[in-house]
Amino acid sequence: MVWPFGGSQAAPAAATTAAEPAVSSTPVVASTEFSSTPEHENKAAEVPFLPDDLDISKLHPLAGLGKDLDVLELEDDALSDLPGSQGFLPSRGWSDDLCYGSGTMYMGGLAVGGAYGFAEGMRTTPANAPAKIRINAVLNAITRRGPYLGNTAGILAISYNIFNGIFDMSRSYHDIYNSIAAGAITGALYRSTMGVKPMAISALLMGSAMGAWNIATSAL
Amino acid sequence: MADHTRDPCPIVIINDFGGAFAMGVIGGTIWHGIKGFRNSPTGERRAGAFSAIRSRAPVVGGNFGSWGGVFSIFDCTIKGIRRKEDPFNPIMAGFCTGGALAMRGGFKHARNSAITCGCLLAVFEGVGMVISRMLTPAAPPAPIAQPLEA
Repeated sequence: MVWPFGGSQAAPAAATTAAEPAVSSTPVVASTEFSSTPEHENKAAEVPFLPDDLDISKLHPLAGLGKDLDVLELEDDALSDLPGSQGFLPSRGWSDDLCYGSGTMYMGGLAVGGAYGFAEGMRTTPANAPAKIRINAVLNAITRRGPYLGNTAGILAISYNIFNGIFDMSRSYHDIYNSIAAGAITGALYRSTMGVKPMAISALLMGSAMGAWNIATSAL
Repeated sequence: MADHTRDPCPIVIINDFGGAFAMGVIGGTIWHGIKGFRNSPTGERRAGAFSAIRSRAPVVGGNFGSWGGVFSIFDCTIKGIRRKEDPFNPIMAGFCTGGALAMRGGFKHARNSAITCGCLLAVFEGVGMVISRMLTPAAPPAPIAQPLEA
């Protein structure tokens, strides 16, 4: 019996119907009786072994045993209560934003870069090349393009979310100016080794992109 | 037994990708910042640290992120197939992840990497179980029955 680590698959219907007379004839094994609190400890020793065909999942309904995989929904009271931060995406605060934001951007960058690398690898190898060489070239191109784009997008998302979280926390509310400022700082930092003009262009681009994103999400 | 601090399965993959990537980037920033600082000549220490962070931290983040994300994908797949949650899920997922990420090095490399990752995850799970058992307060002793005083 693997009770501590999860419920066994629910018994087939035939077994449960066969088990019913057995269970009803031994009412000692009721759901509330079988617990290990101190006042029941002596009693628990007297309880006979559970019948083999008893559906264990019925003993402990709160633990969700025997069900399929548990699907958690974000509870309302766990959501972020920062004023102005309630968007169309449920979030439990800045760490949720950070993880999901950078995860989405990283996976998206990886996928787009990988697709580009795939196309590049297919294009650059001659059509009559052996399959082994072709596969190798395509894999090389994918692993060159995919991580580069994914890393860049993920870095931008991380620094945007960190700055956004800092602004939200220091002003104790969220609005579009926090987003724009965080995007502008991120863009400036991204191009900070290239000189002032690229920094300004990049800051402008990132700031306006984040502003557009905020307007788009608040309109939904 | 459900772990309510984590999101449901398909979507938790994104969370794990992002969390592992962020962890790698932040850790890589610290690591390569110190390394770049130490390895630069005096007078260029700050520039050396900055350029080391710039060129290396995203790579560390990418490696961490791809490991965590692939691990999460395998973990969810194994949970979906086995329909139960126990410490063997992460161990098997670690085994598969180590194998999958080392696949381009050939069969031998993939096998060794898979076994290493599986053992590592087994150690993590074992240590986690021991710690959680130690942190769980022991059940209070049963009150001893005393004869009533007359």
